[in-house]
Amino acid sequence: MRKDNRYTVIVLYCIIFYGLMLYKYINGMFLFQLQPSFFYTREDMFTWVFMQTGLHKWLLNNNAGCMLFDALFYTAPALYFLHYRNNQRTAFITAACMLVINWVYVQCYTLYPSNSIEGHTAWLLFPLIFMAQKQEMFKILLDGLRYFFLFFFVSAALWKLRQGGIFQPLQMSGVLLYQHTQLLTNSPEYWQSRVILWLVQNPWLAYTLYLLATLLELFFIVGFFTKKFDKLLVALFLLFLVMDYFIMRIPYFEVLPLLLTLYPGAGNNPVKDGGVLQPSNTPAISS
Amino acid sequence: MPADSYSCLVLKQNNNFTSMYLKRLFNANKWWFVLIVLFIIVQLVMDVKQGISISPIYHYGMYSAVILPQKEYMVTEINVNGKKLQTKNFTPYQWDRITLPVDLFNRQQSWNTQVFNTEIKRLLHFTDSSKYVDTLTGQQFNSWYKNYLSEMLRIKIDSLSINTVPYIFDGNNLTAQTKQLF
Repeated sequence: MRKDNRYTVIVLYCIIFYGLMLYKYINGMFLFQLQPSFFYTREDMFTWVFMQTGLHKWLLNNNAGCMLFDALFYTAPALYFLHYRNNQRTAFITAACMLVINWVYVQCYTLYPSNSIEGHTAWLLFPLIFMAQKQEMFKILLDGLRYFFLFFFVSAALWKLRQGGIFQPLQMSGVLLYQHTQLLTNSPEYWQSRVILWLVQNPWLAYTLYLLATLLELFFIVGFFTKKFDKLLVALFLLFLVMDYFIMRIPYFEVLPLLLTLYPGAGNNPVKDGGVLQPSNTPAISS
Repeated sequence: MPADSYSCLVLKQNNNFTSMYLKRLFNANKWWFVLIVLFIIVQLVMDVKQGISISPIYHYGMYSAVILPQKEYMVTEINVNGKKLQTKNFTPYQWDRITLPVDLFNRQQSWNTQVFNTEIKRLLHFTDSSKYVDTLTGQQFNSWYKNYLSEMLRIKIDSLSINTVPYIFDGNNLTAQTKQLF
């Protein structure tokens, strides 16, 4: 088969997905390892309708059910990849199945004490793109997801302006204390506790970090106008994830697939990188 | 194409980089166009209204609300076989696995009931609360949690206690608040 950009995106998606699968298994984050016994209803109208199915209750204290859900969720991308490799025309069927599986799994998973649904958006949206039957449609949808990814960051910066966090010099000290009270109180001698406490004790330094993070988020706005800085955006995104892990102790890695939207040439269009139009008789360049 | 016309076109294209996307989408597939425009509108409306989400449209605040240092923090401490569990010995995911069930269980009954009574019933007219409100009792939770923790830590748990301890922040350090006898 022809290994086009779409094929590469699917392969990279699977690499990220299975890398994260391993990471989550080691950390006991599979559904059957979480052994859910109760749920926490969130303020989400789609979720409320979904909860009518009762699936979230069926999984409570149901180890076999949880294992089945894990098996479906973690095999879907591999099945899609195999289907796409063997028959591109009908692979959308597996993509549609993956869409349903991902939505059901993520809806249930995030109702239990695991982590927030916002971080799982990539798993909810990527199957939609894989459902595209034509190459051109796939590229257009991937470009759409790129805009969503840019919005994801830009809106976080705008929220900081709107809700006022950015105007409070003590904001980051407060955030660090809120996020790390347990670490600071039960492991005060640990190196990470010392670094965090030092930042709390130096609020301007902590605030500078908060300000830099906001500027980083805001910088993603350039992506709405040009693709010239996409490599820089990739670097900033990875920096954001690493800092989030070490300073906030937040493993936000589930959003990693969104990185693929910045993959060079994955969603190329008649406008070349940098927004420069190609002469009409020249094919669009994928870098 | 003359150089000047080409430059003008380039400039125009740069300015319309984003709007061009919607044109491409519209030309490629009208249904997707409608779906994505709807997505954009709902996302913007929800961001303005700051209300309830509708998956997959959420708010991405990332600590945007004002959070200032407090004088007092209530800290959950978990003691297993007489020893306090320490965050440093666990990865963030593992620590979440230990603490989230405790934190959320304490709030879930009142929270779930409140969401059902004030929002779900009003907006969707669902009358059966059993799918939204959990019935797990404190005793059942304690028994479940002990087994769960035992499996996770891979040790036999003889004693387990969960305490909420007040800590005072004096601007520099967090210190456990001691109870005054007199």
